[in-house]
Amino acid sequence: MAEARNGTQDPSPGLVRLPPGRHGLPREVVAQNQRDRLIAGIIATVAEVGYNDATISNICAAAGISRRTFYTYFRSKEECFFAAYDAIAEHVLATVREASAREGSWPQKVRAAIAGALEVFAANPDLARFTLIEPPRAGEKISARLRAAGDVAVAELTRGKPKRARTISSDVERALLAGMAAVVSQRVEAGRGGDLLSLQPELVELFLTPYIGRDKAVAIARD
Amino acid sequence: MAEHPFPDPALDRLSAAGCFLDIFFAVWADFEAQVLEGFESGECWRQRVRLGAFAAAGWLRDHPSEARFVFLETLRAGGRLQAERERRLEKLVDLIDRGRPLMTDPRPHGREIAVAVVGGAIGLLVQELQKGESTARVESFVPEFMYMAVLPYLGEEAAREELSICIDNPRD
Repeated sequence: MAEARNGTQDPSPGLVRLPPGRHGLPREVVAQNQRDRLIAGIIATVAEVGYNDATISNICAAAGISRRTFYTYFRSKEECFFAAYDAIAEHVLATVREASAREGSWPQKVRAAIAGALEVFAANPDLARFTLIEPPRAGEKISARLRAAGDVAVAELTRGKPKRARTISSDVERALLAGMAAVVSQRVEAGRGGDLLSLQPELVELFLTPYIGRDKAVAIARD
Repeated sequence: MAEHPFPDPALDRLSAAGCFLDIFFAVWADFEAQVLEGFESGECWRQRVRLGAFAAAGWLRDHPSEARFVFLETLRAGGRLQAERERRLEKLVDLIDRGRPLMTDPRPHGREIAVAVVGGAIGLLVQELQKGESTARVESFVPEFMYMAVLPYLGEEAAREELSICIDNPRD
């Protein structure tokens, strides 16, 4: 996997298939490579055909791994999906935290966090499709994972919020996040995922305005 | 094998997918008509959005099964239905986006704010439906939805006023 600055990895780059036959690599290296390729495989397959139409055969074909080997690592497509989802979430969270840690004030941290997430998704729009677009379509258990990730994202964005910032209800906070996800999803669905970073000012303004007022939010968003 | 007695278009109508689509069109048309009737009865953009939102919430409250069908079950359906759903949601985005000329500052806001407002409300609705919550609860969210919708276009003061709008008398 391609390692990012924060030490986590984009879970779906073009993973290198190990040479066939005797290569002398330790068993754990081979296992990690195969598991990573299956994760990359499910991300690519879900992006192409959607979760509901993705089959284990498709995933294995994308990963270049046999069905038998698939079951060495995962009991089901759903289990593989969750492993990929967790890997992406970890990557996004680490990127967001690293970006916001460089900033001083809370609104600046929010701006950096949103930019960090947009950078990850712009670099690989399949990750946005996998984490934002597909889960609501994939049934209750997977949707529940999206809701839980949303709660983590709200907690992350509001961490360090000053006491003087306005209080808004948890429903509005969840709706703000769902609204931001809708904007990102729409752009990805339109095939413009590589252009996600241009959404940063609107999304920063949208998220910050209820907390600090529009004028301050605009100033931070456009700075 | 005997030749099928139906011509292709009719066959399509009789297929499960065609039937699903027809039901979606009919149910959405009913929802949209109620929202538009509420929206058009208002005198200014802000009041129109509010009346449209209460009309939507009323429809959701009165049609829980249909709400589940058009907002949740269609998410799992195939490409054509997804596209039709998105196209219809864009009409709701248009209603919110009509507030753009009312903004006092000259910043070049795009349509994204309206997409986020509608997307946020629908996203929340879908989450509630997935959790098995009653659609009757949606009505209590309207003031907060209005806060979200009005804030980017008319500012904090107007948005705060929406939080204290009486649900029983939304025209005031």
